[in-house]
Amino acid sequence: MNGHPQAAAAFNRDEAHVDWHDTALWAVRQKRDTMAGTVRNWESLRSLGSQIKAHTLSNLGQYLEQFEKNALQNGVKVHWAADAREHNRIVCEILKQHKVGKLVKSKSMLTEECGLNPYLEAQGIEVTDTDLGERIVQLAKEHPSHIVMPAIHKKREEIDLLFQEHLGTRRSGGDALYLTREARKHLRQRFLQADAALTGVNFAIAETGGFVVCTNEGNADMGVHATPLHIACMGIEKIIPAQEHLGVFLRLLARSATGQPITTYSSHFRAPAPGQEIHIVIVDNGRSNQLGRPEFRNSLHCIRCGACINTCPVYRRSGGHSYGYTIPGPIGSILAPGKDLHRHASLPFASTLCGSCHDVCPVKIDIHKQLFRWRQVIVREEGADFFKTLAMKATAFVFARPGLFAFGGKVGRLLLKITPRFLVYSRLNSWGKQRELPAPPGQSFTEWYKRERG
Amino acid sequence: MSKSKILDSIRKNQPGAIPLPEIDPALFADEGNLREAFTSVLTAIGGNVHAVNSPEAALPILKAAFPDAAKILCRVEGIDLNTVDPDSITSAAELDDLDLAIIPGAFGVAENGAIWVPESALSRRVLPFITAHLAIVMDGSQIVGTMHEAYPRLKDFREGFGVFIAGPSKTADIEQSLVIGAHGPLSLSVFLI
Repeated sequence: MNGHPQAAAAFNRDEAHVDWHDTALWAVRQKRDTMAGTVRNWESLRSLGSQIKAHTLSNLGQYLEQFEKNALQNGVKVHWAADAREHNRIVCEILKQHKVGKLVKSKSMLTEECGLNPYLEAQGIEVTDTDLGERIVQLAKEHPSHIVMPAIHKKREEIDLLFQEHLGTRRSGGDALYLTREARKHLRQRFLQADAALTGVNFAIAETGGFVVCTNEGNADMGVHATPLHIACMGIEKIIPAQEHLGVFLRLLARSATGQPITTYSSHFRAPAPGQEIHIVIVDNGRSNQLGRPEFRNSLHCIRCGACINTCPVYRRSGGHSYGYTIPGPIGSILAPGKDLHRHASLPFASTLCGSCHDVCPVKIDIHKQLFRWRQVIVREEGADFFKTLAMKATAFVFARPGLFAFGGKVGRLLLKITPRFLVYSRLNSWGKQRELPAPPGQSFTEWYKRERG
Repeated sequence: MSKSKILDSIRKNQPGAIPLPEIDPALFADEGNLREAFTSVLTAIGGNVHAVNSPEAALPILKAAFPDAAKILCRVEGIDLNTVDPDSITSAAELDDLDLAIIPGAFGVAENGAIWVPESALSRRVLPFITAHLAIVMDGSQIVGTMHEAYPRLKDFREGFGVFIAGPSKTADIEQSLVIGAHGPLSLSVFLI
């Protein structure tokens, strides 16, 4: 089965680009640190975020019903979808009823998860992703490789070529200002010609029946306010109890995501404008199952900031596409196995378990611990690779026998010194593929300790 | 029906009640001058902030900053720059070539430079997004410290739409190069009275 290691190896062929990717994402992580440092009692804010989410999950059914009741009172239509297929069918039906031929979308990882675009296109509806990064990957017929920066894997030269082909731009060598201005013109036309707009939902407020959508580009608002029909799709975990809780989450979200104090636009929708309709589609698609797994439950706290992705040493060097799941990186690796254990069995192993993801998570999800727990589930249910099992058994055998361990160490240190390089770095040594082994020390720690303290 | 199916599954799987924590705004309040903090954050995220004594005083600054603006829609009393009748606009497309929109802001937030703009301040919801350049005129005494102080002010807000606007629209989706001016305005000028 092809998993993360194989896909990561493909990404790693262009070493210079991997270095760029690694550095660019680390820079975002550093911006996040700087920004978090300016907030008084940041750690208390994270705790609040986590506690509000935990509380909400413990009353999720009640809050969803309260949200629906208030939304209906506000004149918003509410739909419920048990899975991706039902979600796609509902969205398509709403569009068909309104005779929509052209749909503009702002970023929604949920509709990616459900595969909405190909579904609607097969029904003859033209779908335009309007977030610049999403438009880039849409034109390239790819998927986002990051939940906040969808085209972070793409080089500017590639984008230049893509725009020359699809938007008729001149060759610019990847001039970001020029390309962004051209995309603005191109997408402005799409906004004004569209029949409907679809957005995600960052937060849905039970108390008011309203919801909040955050963007920097203004693309969600351009689409929604320029068209008579707004469809907003949300997972069941997007609910928060009351408006005052927005204060906590809007403070956490952009700072954790990109190191901004807040996104440019935090749009609060409650009721449709005159002559407009708003439809909300509430989607489960496996989330309520995850709610029933106590050891993985708090993965549903996630507010999709991407901080764990930016900090992850494995993600930064393997790229988002290597995960083969809508949400890449550490958070995706604990969500994906809950959806399809067999298919995503390699993901919890794509981690060093360093815990950096947990350190930066604004809602304190213990991602590293859940990765470890998923590994145990996977080995139990899927079995482990023959060589890995053998190696583990051999290691356990040696570690249980101190004499053998000491002898093995001596032999190993000697062998490493005298064995020719081509043998040490043979194909059997997968650790040494892109790395140098440390130089063998002259003595073991035990030997050193005995001499110094003995 | 899916609604009951989903809710049944949730009720079966959700844990026992976990208490909802209280938010204590005082825990997060920073000392210092709110107006200065607001100005410095908003400037850092790409906004142009001007201190003026009256809305009228914004007029020469706007004229100097946008000498070529032909189509202007103004929603602020005292600034006589309107070239279009807001009530005559019947579709977003008619605002596509709008050069400048001038709107009132309700209040600002010092920690992030955001300004609350309720729907009632706009002639159409699309206005502050579709315009090439945006100017917001605001009472400089109406600035709160953090978002925890902002939401109590919106407790009785019942309008269908409202937005926190923090700076001009922006993107960094091409190799992380920051470009000011994505789909929304290319610039934001804020006048603090």
